[in-house]
Amino acid sequence: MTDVAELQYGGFSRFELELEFVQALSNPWYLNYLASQKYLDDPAFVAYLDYLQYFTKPQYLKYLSFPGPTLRALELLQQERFRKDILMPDTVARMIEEGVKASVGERT
Amino acid sequence: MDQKIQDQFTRVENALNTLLDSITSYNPSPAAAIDLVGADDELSEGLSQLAAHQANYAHICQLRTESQRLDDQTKHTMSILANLRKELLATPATVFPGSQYEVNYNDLLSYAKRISRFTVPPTYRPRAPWDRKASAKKAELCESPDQQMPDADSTSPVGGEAVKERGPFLSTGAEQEQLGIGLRDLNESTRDWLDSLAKLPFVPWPKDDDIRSGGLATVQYLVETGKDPTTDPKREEQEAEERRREEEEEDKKRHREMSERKQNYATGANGHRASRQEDAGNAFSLDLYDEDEG
Repeated sequence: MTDVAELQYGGFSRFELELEFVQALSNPWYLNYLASQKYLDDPAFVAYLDYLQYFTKPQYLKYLSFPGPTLRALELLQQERFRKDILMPDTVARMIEEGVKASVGERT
Repeated sequence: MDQKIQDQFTRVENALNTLLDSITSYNPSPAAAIDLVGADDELSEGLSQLAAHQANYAHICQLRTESQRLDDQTKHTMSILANLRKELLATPATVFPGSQYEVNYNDLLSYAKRISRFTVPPTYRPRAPWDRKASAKKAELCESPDQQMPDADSTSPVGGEAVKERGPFLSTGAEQEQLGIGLRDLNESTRDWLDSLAKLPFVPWPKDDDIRSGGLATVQYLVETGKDPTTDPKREEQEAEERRREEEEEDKKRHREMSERKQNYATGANGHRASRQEDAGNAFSLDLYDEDEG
């Protein structure tokens, strides 16, 4: 007897999959890939990204293993300008630099 | 006391007067002299008594003052104690305001422990002011992951230790000699291996491989191969296994029953007829099973 509420998609619950996806968003190359596949132009997708904002709340935030870059990506994805810019590799490089600098710190 | 002395003085005086009178009247009476001596003795006694009395009195006074002094001291101490106690009770205990933070510190620490793997590269150490050259090495390590893309997962606590040793244990001398004592003891090959571990690329987000080995990728595979993504492949495997096991058990049971029946017929009283019956029975029973299995 399968418990529909829990195991829905290939053995993973919906929450697990959304958690994976939102953290994958912290990878700038993945965002670039999404932009290249025109997902970021789809208003339904944009609405879904907006829905994913629930991960900013503490009770869901505690499940994130990559909180910094994930939340940064979520925040940036709300801006349309960013969704256009992330298609360019320049932006991707800048974002990578920003992420690594944030984690490792300044160095001469 | 005074009265006593006074009496004695009076007696002496009287005795003296009597004696003088007796002497002036040319009638010396030795009795009067003896009386005088006696009175004088008594007077001396009285005087010594008086001395003792006065000493006692002085002692008593001294003791009285001493006692009074001690009483005063005690009262003073008691009053000080009472005041202190009053002050002590009056001091309000500091009320610590309830924790302003909504998050339990235990939870916070365990969370930090969990995400520390992904926050900084395992060989990362903050720059130490005396360690310019080692930090330059670290800077090189950190720069390379920027341009590189994701590879294997970087889990090298051993690499971290290598850099740690490089830090504090600075020996004076040439740049080559800046390896720590631990590192110098290792072979060249081991050191290179440690270095290679330390140079694994690190990014603070899931790498491509991590994404590809995740649940989303599994679902995508299911969708692409046409299977219904709402099923659970593992669960199906388990169910299939269970069915197989049940079938095996049923087969075994049937085989056992068949062999039992064969034995029964073989040990029957009428051997010949039993064998014929056995054949018939076997044939019949085999047919029965065949029909079922068909």
